[in-house]
Amino acid sequence: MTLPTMGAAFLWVLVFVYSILGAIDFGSSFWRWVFHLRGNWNAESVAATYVSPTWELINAFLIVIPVALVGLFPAAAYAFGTVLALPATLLLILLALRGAYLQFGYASARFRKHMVYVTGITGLLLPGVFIALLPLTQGGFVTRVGSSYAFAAGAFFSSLPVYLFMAFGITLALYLSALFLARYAQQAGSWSAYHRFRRGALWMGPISLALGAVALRVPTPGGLAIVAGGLHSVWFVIFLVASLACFALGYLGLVMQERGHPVTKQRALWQLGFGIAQIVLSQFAYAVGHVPWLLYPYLTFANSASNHVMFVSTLLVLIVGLVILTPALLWFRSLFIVDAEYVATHAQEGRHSH
Amino acid sequence: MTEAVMARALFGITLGYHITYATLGVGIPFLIFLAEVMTSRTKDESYRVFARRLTRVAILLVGVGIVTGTTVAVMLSVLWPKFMEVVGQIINLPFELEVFAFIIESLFLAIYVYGGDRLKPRARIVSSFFVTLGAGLSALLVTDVNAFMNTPTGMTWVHGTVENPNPWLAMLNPSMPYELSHVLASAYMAVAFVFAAAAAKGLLRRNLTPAERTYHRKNLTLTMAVGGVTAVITAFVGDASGKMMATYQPEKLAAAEGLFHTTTYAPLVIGGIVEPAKQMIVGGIPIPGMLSWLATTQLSGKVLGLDAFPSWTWPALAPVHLMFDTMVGIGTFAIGLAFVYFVLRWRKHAWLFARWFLWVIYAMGFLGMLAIEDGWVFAEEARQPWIIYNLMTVDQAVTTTPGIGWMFGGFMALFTVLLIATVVTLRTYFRNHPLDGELAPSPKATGLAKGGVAL
Repeated sequence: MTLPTMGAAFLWVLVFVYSILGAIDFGSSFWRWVFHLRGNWNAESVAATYVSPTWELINAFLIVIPVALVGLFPAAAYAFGTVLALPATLLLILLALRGAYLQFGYASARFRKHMVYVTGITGLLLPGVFIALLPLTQGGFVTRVGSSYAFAAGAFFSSLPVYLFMAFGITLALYLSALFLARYAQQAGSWSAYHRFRRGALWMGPISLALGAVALRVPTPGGLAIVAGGLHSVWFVIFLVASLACFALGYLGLVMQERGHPVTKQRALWQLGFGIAQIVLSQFAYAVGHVPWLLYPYLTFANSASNHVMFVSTLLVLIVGLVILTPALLWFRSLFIVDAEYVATHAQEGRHSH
Repeated sequence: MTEAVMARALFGITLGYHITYATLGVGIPFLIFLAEVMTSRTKDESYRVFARRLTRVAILLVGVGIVTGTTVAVMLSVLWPKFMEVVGQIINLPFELEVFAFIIESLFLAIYVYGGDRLKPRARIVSSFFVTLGAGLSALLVTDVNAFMNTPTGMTWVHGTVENPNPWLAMLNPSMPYELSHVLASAYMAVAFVFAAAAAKGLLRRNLTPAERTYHRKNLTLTMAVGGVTAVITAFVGDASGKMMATYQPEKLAAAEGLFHTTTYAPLVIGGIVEPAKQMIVGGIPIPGMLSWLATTQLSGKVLGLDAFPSWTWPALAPVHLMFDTMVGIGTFAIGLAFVYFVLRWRKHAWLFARWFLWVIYAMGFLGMLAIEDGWVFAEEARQPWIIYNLMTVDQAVTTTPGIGWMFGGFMALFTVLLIATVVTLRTYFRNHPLDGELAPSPKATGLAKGGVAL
């Protein structure tokens, strides 16, 4: 493996860790909004407990991605910086409203309802906006003009594959977060909420799978054909088959449950595990189809890499930093998220307050 | 308005907005830490109440600061893609390390907040210390990139590309020690005066209970002490960075002081309008030899004037000089105010309780933040037309994408919403949690650690 490829692999790890954390975070606030509107306080309070203490750290993870891109592939940072002006503005405004309203909502009862609405709506839209970056990197919407780049915003926003990707991203986030919240509800022993989330997952799972399959098959004009390119590699096939197998197993587990009955901790955990494994594996497959392009057909890992010194120091600093701080983050998680007692008591409080 | 001017305006306003939150986010944890130390030393619970009320402000401002900081981080790449391409080849390490400093800050803030009253005093001191450390480091690391922009080192610049890069040397550029300590000390100073102003405003209210009055008095003394000491440090560091500028960025110093001709025994001109056409400052108060002394520690020292540089590299002279003098003026006033406060306190003078004196302290809270904003605008404006001094101009760095106007409109709307909501949130919170309730603890008032708190 060459150095630029290692850098790209590292960047990819960051992207998919964020995509999973983000999907859970965004999806949860959407579910919270939905159950708030429906007046299902059990399910709402389970979702609310998760949404609160984590967004700042997930956001820190998000920041690492552009920072790593700048240090590892400055030429790509230049290209994306140039073409993303408009999409990034949209993304930032959604993210900013979301983050700020989480703060306002927790600091003052006056903003609590606004918070549920703002985070719910942004939580629904953001996975769609984020995933739209994938078809953008697949090419067809960016042209090189001299030493600079131009973004065909009109073509991009009127392209069918782009909207298929968006719908795929949104439903996938809802599927994963429903699995996550189901496990959360299981820990709190809140069975009506558990089955609400289970039902959400039952719907969203197949829909997201179908949308994903279509989104990858519909070609973008002048773009990279992920599936056709990927099929040349045996790894692509292995990852894809494994991903489908994980989906099948997880989904089968979800289907074969009786409504309204308690489930074991192991079962809730396995469901979630299969869901995450499915996504990780399909992301691997996608990556295999996308290699070696950062921005098709202009930028590869090799031709956009930073100078050797900077590349190595960036990799070292980020990897060492993450290795040192990850235990701290996990410990933080164990303090506030996995702590069943915390979950239970907070779910209780939520119920009383309504 | 050209795209470049529009991009500068958008980025300037975004940073100006972020700097308010960031400065408070750096200074408040330090005050919390001090309040915790005071609680432990004096066994006086009123400092604990102060820490608790500050914590509430910190949680909100740090949270919104993350939002504005994220905006700045992405906007850098979007508005100045050419600049970030260079950053990626030489000075990206501070940005990477900053993320980790931030993680440390928010982890310990979480421990401090969620632990709340259940933590032992020592644990509260330690965790608030690490919040202070993480917040301070974040600010310093980001500022380090700015120091590089002022005095780029650690590479050879060959026709617009970076060669022989040494990223660690680039981090340790000549401006680094001065600019970083100036930023940190001035943040502590400004935030201390903000809360001195809050205490003064508290004392100005009618019908105070004796407990409330002592609470505000103690806080006023604590914050005035912090503000006074850090204001003196800020001034010393500012003086040192003046000398650094004379060596590494003489053009910036000449612009700040409106010095057109290279001179020995150069005077320091306070105020006045710099007139480039006449090549002089009209209406200022000159102090003979003072600029030479500040720049070189000798009255006879030679200070380079603007004539040593081509005029297309001069910044806008009149505003730069006035901004510089405003910054120094507010800093000097802050030192004077703290000095007067402690003299009055020592002599037990009646003015200490005079309403006009409290109003002056109240005004100082706003002036301190104004000085921070003004200092940053000066630092950026006086480097124009360069984004990286002597290597890359702002016009070369700006994006080629049209439509900055749309972004401008969108972000102005966003910032307006955030600003209004921040103010309303803080007001509502403190109205619902009055001070006398917290000073005489009831189960409801000590509820910070138990319910409704989130990051």
